Amino acid sequence: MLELTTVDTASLQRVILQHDVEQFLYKEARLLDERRLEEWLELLAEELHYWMPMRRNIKFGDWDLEFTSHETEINWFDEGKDVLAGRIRQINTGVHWPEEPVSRFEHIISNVELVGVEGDEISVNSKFFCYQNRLQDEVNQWVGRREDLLRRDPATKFKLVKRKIILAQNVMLPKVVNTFF
Amino acid sequence: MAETKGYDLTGKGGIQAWSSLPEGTKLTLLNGAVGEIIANPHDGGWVLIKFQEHPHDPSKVGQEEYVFFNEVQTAAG
Amino acid sequence: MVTILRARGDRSIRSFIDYERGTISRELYVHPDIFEQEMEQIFQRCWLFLGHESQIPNPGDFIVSRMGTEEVIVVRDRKDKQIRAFLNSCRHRGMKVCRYDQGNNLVFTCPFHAWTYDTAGKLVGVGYGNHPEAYGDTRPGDQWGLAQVAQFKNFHGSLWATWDPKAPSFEDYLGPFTASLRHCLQSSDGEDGGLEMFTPFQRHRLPTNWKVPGFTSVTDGTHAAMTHRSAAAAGLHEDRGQGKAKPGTPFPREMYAIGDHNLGHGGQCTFYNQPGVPDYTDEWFEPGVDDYFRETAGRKAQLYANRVLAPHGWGGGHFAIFPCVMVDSWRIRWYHPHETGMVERWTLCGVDKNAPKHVKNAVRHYVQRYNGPTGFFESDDMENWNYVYPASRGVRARKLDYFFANGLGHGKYDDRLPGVVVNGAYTEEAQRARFSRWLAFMEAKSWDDLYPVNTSKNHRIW
Repeated sequence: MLELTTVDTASLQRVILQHDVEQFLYKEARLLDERRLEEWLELLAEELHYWMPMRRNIKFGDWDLEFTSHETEINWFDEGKDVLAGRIRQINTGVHWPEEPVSRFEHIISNVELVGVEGDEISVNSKFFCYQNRLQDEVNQWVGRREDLLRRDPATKFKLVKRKIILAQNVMLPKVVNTFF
Repeated sequence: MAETKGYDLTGKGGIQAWSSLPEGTKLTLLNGAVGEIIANPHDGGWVLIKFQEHPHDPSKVGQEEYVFFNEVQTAAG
Repeated sequence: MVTILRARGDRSIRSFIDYERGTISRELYVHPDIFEQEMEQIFQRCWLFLGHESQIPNPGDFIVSRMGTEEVIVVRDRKDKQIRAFLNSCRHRGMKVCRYDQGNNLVFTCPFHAWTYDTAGKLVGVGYGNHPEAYGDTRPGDQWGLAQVAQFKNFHGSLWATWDPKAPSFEDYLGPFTASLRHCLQSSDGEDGGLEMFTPFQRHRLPTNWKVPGFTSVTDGTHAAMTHRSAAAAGLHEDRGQGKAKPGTPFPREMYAIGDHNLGHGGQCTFYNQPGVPDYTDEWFEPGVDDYFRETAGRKAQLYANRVLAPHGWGGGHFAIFPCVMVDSWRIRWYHPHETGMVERWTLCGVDKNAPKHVKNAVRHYVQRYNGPTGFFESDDMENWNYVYPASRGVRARKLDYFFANGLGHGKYDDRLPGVVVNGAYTEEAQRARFSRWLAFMEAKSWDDLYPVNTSKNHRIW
């Protein structure tokens, strides 16, 4: 049996980093679900690029066509922290009708995978399941994965610098997307 | 003239071979007709050929026609 | 007389509208029989919007679009380079012959029995077509090509089609709105067909009747203050930078709600009372964007030095082409019914095709955050349009009528748009006009009963 003392420092650092990153992603989800949206905003880097492309039905092999481009095409989200802050201001007016009365959101995050570390920056992949329940019987759900770039931060442990949200949908089936992923 | 290459359109690799047959590939059909691929839609079913020989209908020579994969006997390029 | 609702006693379609009170029955939004008749009487006859030529620039390029409840393939032929539209349904067993959103094809191959059609819709092969024990002399011929729309029109880059061979020409269908639509398809410097569209279509579902947004969201002047209260309160009206707009010299113009009761089109309308164009006012945050648009506005002003602008929406505002295509000078939004209580909404936004990249990016970012299910503004609309439906369809609720009398009796004809009723900017004239035309379509046996209008018939019912 492996003794803890025999684990090399590099491996241990990696396990600790995995743990810290997971805790960060879980905290993000919890802040969203607890409607602490302004606190969630504090976890975002000033230069954040928050991107959810549309996904096309394409012929096998035409992979370049699948995701819409954030350079030239229309995306579900393709914006920075300023726009996200505007969305949160809008929800917090209390008169943003698709979120008034407020929804019951639950974000479930899993499959957290460190894919690269370069200096202070960490590339992380993860998956999400987001369930929305509102009014009496309105249910919407979104499933997908994310490719994130995090940067170490003294105050919040990390800041989110880039997020690509790969949603498993073609036509958007929910009428409104009023949460964050 | 470049060496001709035969394509194996049967077995597990048959679909990949069929779907990627390049223009200029020479097809011999089960009915004995011979033609050259002028376009491949990569749909798994069809290629467009121009007939070079046709044992039963000489008027088809020079004509273009879509050919279904199960009409083809051999392919060589 | 067209009747429906036999289970609750025969009623004529006409009896659902009370022209004198200015009301319509809620059954119009919730009854499945009415929905089925609309698909036949309206969506099989009207000119419908398919997309824009900039989406399929090359031979073999295609997009899948919709006409009402059905999919159509819009494809540029490899041989003659013409654009055509076909029902996406194999003539053999009805399978979809195309299940991609867009691409470039040599042929459309049915995955079922390999019936295969070229980019002009012609049947060019069937699986086992040459097999000695198959079709033989029963092999399907040219009449088994994909079902093609009866009429197709490329109007300054925008693509339209109708299933009805008897429909009038697209320009006759538009009537006095021909110049308005042409204007909205121009680039900001006034050049015809000067737009390209950002791809792809933005598409999303909305659980409501198609007429809720399709008929009543255009020139719904009284909705914005409350529906979009949150956007204003959160300062999002300044989102494009409107907050820094400098007041220019007021241009002599009049703004109205208008409705063409004979053709069904209508919406916001500005009449420009003298040649020229209004002064450009800065409105963009992104650096250099106002510089570009100021320059193009200057060129447009030269073009219009001695010409009066065609009437169109208020500023960037919108009018609708019957049955449900909302047109602005920068976006087209339209509705595809799925069933009585489900509609799919599509948006296509344009930008000057010759604009530099930083301008295209600014416009693109703006339309992304404004429109649809992820848009600041339109997300509020979705909630209201959605819950109209469940709250209207109860047995008690559907016995009530909707109020459409705002401004009833105050509309006037105006020579500047012949046949069109002009009314106060915050009235429901455009909605009433759509229901006038809706009734005409629902009662008509064919286009003979629907066109020509103005001279031979007047479909205005209220």
